[in-house]
Amino acid sequence: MPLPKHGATILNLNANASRSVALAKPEPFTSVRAPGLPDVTQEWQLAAERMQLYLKSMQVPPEDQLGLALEAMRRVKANGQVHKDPLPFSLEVLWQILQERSAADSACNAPQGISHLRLPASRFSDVASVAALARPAIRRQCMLSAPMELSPWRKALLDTLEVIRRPTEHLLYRRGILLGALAALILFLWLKVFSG
Amino acid sequence: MPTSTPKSWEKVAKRRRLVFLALVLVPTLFASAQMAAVFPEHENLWLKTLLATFYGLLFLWISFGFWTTVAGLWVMWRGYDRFNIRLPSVKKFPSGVRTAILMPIYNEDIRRVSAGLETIYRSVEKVGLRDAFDFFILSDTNDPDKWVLEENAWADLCTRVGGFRRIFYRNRRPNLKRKSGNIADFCRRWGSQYRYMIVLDADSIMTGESFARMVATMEQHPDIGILQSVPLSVNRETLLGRTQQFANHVYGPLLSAGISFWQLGDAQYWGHNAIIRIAPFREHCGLPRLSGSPPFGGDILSHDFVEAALMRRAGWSVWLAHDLTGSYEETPPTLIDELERDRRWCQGNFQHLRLLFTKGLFSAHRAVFLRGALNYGSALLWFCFMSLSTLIAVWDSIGVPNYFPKQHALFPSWPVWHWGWGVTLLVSTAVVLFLPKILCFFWVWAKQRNADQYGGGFRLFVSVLLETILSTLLAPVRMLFHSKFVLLTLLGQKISWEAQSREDRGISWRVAFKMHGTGMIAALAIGIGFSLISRSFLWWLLPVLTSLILAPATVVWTSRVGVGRRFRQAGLLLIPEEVAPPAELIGLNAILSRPPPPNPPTFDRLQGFVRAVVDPPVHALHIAMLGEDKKLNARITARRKALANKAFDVGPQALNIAEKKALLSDPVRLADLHRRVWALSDPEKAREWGLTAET
Repeated sequence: MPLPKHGATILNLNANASRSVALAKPEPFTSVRAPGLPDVTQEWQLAAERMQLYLKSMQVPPEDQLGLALEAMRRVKANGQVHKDPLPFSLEVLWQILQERSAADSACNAPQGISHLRLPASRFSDVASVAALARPAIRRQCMLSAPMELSPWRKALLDTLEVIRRPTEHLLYRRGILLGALAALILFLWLKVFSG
Repeated sequence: MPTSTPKSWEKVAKRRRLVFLALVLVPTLFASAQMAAVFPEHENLWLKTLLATFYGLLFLWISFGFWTTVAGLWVMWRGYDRFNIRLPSVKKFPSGVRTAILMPIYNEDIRRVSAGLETIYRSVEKVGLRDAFDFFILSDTNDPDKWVLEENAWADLCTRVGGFRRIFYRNRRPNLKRKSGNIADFCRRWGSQYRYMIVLDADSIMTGESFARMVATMEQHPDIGILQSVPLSVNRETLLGRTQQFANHVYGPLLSAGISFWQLGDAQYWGHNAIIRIAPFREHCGLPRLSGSPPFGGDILSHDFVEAALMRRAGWSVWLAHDLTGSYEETPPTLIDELERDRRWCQGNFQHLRLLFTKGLFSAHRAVFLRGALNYGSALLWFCFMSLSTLIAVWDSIGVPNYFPKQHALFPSWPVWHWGWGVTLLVSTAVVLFLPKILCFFWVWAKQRNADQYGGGFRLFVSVLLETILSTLLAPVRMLFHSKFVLLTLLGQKISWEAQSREDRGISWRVAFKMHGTGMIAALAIGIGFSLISRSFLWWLLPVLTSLILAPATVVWTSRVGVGRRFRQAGLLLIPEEVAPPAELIGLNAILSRPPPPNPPTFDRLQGFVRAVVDPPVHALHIAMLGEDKKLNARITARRKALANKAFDVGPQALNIAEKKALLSDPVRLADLHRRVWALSDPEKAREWGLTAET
């Protein structure tokens, strides 16, 4: 069965990508029954479902999903890699297929945007281009802190105040003591008023 | 340096400020003397003097607003100020000038940020200036979930508008010096590639036309360092939000015109919706870390005022473009959100007192620092004034008067209260407080003749009344909280840096009572006490006490979107942007009402970390945006492997924020986790990662 190419839809982020795919309503998930395989077990069923979910998450068009999942399962079977848990192997093969499709698609079309990112094995191959899209080239210059010194006579004044303030700072910064002082002041005022 | 702004503005500004000082100080001194004269002679001279001083300072404070509005009315009525700058039209837009539009964000709702940027981008496109502007989302976000969502939103936005290589995104890991550090980081990395930067806030909206006019103004006046626009408040639906935006529309234009009249080229920078000349900014406006610990030391919190002062110190002027249209922002939706923001601002403004004596600053900017501190300090002054007047009232009711203050007096000296003068003072205070509102109403109704945009003349009048009642009702609540903020700042309690809430959301009764219960109980106690001691004084205190007693109900009521909408349906508190919305605001709402894209795995869309691990496109994008794989030492590698194993064995909820961030910063471990999670055959574990298909 010929498989459709779908490299451009792996990451549907380029300017030419169809918005209809990104904004389409989520379709109800229907599991793959793996009709081509003779020994369908529960594990295979899970592998098929997981692959289809993966493809759906990648916004692969629904009409391609089944074909890709079946292709992955066939390859696993053809390699004789039928294990107790076929899920990891199926996914590895699926990723391999996706890379092949993506590479073929990239070879045909010059990559635009970040649509040509391939998943997941060759994840670092396109890092430079994505980083450049996110951040332009740096031309570093310095920006030093502005001097904020005080004028001489003001500095002298503040230094004097500081000499007075420093011994009492730890007291001032203790809320309890300050509130106590405030309460004492109010009490003093109160008594002063009533004695007046 | 070329000087092409009106040449004599500095001299004129000095003259205007002298007049302003005279207008403010003379009535203040007169009012203080009158206040001292209200009380009986010979009794509590020191208490009387203290009370008159507090009253004088408060009168001074409200006089600022009064005379600023009067000056604004003068300018707006005449239609021009020949010493102020004039904004050119879009047609004067210069070619070959590159401007960066910066949106610094910190743990914001990225959906709103992205929608705002899309709106702005399309507006710039509409005026045909797409190639003249680059957009930067400068993220300081430290929440791992939001970090991933931001990257995704950036990619989606660029895809939607075709903005790759025009819209950029950068996440800064060490958030040094907060917002000012974020902007400084841009200036260091990319600043040399642009002549100007327009700084926005996460909720800012500006039109392409306003950008073009700002750039053209900067080109026309090469000595301007910063040009600040006056953003109009829009998009709020709660009653408080709608009241604030109504006040901003009706009173704002005259106030900003008045501020511009007094300040001319010594204006302020408000931190957003402003254009800045990058080269002098980079050279002169780097902010130092202040010695000592917060709140007075450490990073400068309210950086904008300081940056404007430094720009001016370096010889560049700072102007307020009060007549520039197309600049919008959003106000806090509820009183609690507003107070949270005020707490930060209060600390920032008080920190400026340390910079008051900085060498070389212009006196206009020192005055701005002082006024910023008074903005919150006035609340404490009012609180002290109320407390002192209460004390005097108690003394008057209970204390025994001294009829013979002087020895050997033939006749007793009766303590006489000059109530007439008191009433005169009350009336003059009310005039100073409320006349600006009336002037603004008349300006909109009679001069501008655009009352229709506020629902018609009658509805505009009723709305002004409503706004006055609501602001009067909330004033004592604000006073109490601002006093608390000032005291906490003076006591050295620092605040944390949190993202501002920008969503319309109601406040529950529980939260309202928790916030305002103490004030309510105190007001009730004082009210009951005075009803027993001095009923006449109770009338004096009644407005304040009523406000505090009703505070929880007012706060809940004003936070309700439904109440705000009912007022809107009745045509009250309307603003022109609601009657005839501009294309940008229509566009913004259309973008925000779009449904989110489909999400096959069944995890919450806001779980950024899970999406970065599981969701293939999000995962690929995140890894690609991390950049080249870094060589890590064995210890870090082992730790991150352990984190990946922990996430895989126990589930994503097992990791804390720091652990999630560590894992998200490691492309190798993340990719490995991606493979392992997708290969999970245990249904329970798979469900924790959202790997259950919706059926």
